[in-house]
Amino acid sequence: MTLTKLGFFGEVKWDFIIYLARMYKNLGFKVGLLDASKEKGLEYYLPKDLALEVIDYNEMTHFLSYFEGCDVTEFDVLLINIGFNSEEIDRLLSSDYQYLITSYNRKSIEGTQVLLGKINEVRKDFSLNQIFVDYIASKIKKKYINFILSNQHSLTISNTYYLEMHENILKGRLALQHKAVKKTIKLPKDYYQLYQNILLETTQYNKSRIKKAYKASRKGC
Amino acid sequence: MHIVFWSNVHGQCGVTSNLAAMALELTLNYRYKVLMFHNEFDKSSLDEIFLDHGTLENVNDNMFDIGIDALMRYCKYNALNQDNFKNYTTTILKNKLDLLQGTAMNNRESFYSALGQMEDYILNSALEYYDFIFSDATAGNQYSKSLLERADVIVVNLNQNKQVISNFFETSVYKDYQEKCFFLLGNYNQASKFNRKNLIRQYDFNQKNSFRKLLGKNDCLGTIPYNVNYLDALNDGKVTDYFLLSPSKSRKDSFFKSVKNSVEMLLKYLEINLELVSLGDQDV
Repeated sequence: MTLTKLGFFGEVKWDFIIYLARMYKNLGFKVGLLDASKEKGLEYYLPKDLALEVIDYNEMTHFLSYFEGCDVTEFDVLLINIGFNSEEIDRLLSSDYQYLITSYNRKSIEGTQVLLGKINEVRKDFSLNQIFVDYIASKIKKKYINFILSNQHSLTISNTYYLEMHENILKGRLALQHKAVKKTIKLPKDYYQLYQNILLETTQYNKSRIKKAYKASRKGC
Repeated sequence: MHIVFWSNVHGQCGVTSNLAAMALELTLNYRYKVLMFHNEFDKSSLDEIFLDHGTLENVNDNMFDIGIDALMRYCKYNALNQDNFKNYTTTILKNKLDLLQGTAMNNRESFYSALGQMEDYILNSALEYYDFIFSDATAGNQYSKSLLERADVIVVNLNQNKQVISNFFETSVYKDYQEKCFFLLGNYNQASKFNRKNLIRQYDFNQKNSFRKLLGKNDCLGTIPYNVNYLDALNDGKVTDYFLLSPSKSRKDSFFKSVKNSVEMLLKYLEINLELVSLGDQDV
């Protein structure tokens, strides 16, 4: 099996990637997660006191920073998060799929704007998926956000997803951080739909097989 | 080849059960003949896991006629030969795996004194008839030192307790025999945060390549997972049946897979070409 790389950038919370990674794992893929961001959040989703740069946990390999060889090992899927780290743009662009994740927070939007501009300097012919997290209908309209984001670049947006704010997601994130729980929470419909679309696009599996993988990850497999 | 199974702690790492699993897997799948030997004075766990209690009770009546006592008698007359091993060991798998049962002597000092004098002769003679001797060296037993000294390979049995592992690396065994150490994690649980890969990254299990170490790769650290059915078989003295009768489906589970991997790793560590020594379908 060849290595498939998924690059995430923007305001990325690791629980979002970990849930997806668990579904890949339960589909039978060997999964690696690489934290190439400056914020370095991945370690807070792993058991404490291991004091390692590479950690195997829940049958997945977690690279807390990049080192030569992260992507040449035996993985089938490598999930890379560069956050807002513009020094890692090449790594993002060398991925097979790219996902921009942002909330409507101004800090996040402005950071994303800058990063998109820099990406655009390196590559013009580039399409990405756009995911808005913690979305809530308010006076800040979709049209406005899309306008200020697209203002800085001429990149193609292939898909846009809006994930609403869910109490369950926040609870799950806290449990992941403090207890490193292996069971995946019951995902809200919009999250599940997004994961399903990503898996349908990046693997050869059908919806029912993906559902089985999700159920297995709910049990902590 | 003399392979000694040893641990720095007693009763925690499953030395004897690991030895049994490795010996059975090796003899069932490769063209090798193995003798299992131990130096325990009383309550030998190796005898107990291969022989059910009824057999052991019957055997105890005539204990001097078999096992280490019988062989030591022949040693006195310098008359050890293949027939003695055939006659006085207990056959576990015919022409594949034999067990040299422990002593029935009443005096610990006399036994260890006699064993000390004859151990060399017995083991050297055994190596003429067997490809491997798997010795169970009791932890903390001063008589195990001579076994470790003459071992070709020491299989160091550890578990996922960091204290046990850290203590091992401070022992004289590691300092003196590091070069001939192969490692096994007994009662292994993959779900622990101290899993094999993370432990490889933290400790020096003879992995010289720092890149492979960072990736959690090591060719001399095997695992024997905790398995309830195997534990029951050990308690019932039915461990051979457990390996022989397990259906093909359960042989695909993590326990059998890990035992198989550990045996392959050990053979590779000994620089043995697996293809040349594995039993084909026609041999089974």
